[in-house]
Amino acid sequence: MTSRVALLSMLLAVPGLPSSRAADELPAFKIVVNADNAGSAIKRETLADIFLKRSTRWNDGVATAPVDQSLTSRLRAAFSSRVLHQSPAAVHNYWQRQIFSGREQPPPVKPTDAEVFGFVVARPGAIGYVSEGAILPSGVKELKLVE
Amino acid sequence: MCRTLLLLAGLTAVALSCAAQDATEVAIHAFGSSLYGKTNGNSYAVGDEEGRYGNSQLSLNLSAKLSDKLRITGQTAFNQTSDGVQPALDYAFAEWRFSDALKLRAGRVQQPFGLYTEVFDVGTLRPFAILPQGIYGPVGFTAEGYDGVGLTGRWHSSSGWALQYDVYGGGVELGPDAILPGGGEEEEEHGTETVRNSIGGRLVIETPVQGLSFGASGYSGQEEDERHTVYGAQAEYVSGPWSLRGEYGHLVSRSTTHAFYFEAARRLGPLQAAARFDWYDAKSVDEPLPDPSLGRHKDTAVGLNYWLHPSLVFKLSYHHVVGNRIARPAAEDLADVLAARALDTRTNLVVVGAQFSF
Repeated sequence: MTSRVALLSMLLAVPGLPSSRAADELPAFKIVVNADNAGSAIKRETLADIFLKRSTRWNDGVATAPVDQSLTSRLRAAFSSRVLHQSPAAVHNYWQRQIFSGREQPPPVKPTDAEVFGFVVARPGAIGYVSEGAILPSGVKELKLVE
Repeated sequence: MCRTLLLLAGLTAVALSCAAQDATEVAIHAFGSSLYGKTNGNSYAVGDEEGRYGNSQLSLNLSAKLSDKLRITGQTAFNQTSDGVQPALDYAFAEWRFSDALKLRAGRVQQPFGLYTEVFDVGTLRPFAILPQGIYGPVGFTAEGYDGVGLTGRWHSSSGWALQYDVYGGGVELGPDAILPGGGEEEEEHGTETVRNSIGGRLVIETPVQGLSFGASGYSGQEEDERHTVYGAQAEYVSGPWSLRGEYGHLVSRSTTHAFYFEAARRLGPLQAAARFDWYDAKSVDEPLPDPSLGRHKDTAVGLNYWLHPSLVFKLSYHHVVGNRIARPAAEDLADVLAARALDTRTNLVVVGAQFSF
């Protein structure tokens, strides 16, 4: 009986994604942009629109260039939950629909904070998220997230 | 087949070469499925009485952003049929972006109709392995694409409302079996039908309630000497573990047709349970059908899925069908079955398989 319960528990765990238990302990993150960005804060809705590519321009006309972290990372789960108000799987589904209907491509994925920084430094309109404790290199600044 | 593969490989190589030389952004994606279907008699969707394995399919999607305003997108499908693997061009078009609210598309473009036409074969975007056949089956409602030009765009307000629109004009190529069956040889003569000089559009309203949207679609054109007019309505709610979808369609051509479906699915971890009711009724304008059941279709289905990853799902579904509009004997046997008054109006189908996308 115990082994059957264990098997069922194993089958009901979400493969490939952070578990629901882990969702309660999601890590904190901060929003980073290229240092040329004129802003100091960004509304959650605006940030969501940029990451879902519903808004493709900053106020000054520069093209937005969002960068994501790995689909299976807990940092992305935290960002998806707090900013997009959706699970990573739901956001993945949204992008699959956009891709195969020929409408839009998802943001590029960078697996580490260091690679996100590299992407942001290289593009004036870039925006990403990194671990709260990450030390910002030159050419990158933090935007305050406003709910 | 080889020529198509070579062409695709060549285009991919050119695109990757361009991407390597300048700032062109190239993306390659794919989706596919492999399904087994078995019925208790009639042929229906992916199944027949013998049990059909030959339902494998792979599609490659290539997109190149050549500038801030210009993007080229194409998709090729490779379908396993009784004649071997058949390549097909799903779409290939160029898109010029004036703004987020106005984009011009030209070429072969997915037909924006309803919830699923643009992602017709992408199994990871729906709860059942097969689409509701009353609207998306071989019944003349939809095509995978139109050949022509179109405009698309999206507006959104700060209050959470958004509007997505499409308008287009061109030719719409319906699939085979798009007209009501007359039985015997007459039916076999009808292959792919093209609705010429079509104009159409779709409007989708996204509400401030996350995942809730409503929409309407329609198109009209000339099919030989008949007017072919289709319109439909859609509603969708996808939030958390739930997905609820419903659509209605109405077709006026050589037949007058009404169809609707409602489907609900719920995730429990990697498991997903689904149920669907799919209804269709058609009346021939020209002449009575050989049997009234050839104009009817009612599919009640339940399904259970196991998601190994958001990109890979195993699916099992059971369908109970009443009516012979779509579930019926093979085309070459239909006349004999009708003559013998041996048409079985009830069909049971079991589908099992895997679907993936990346």
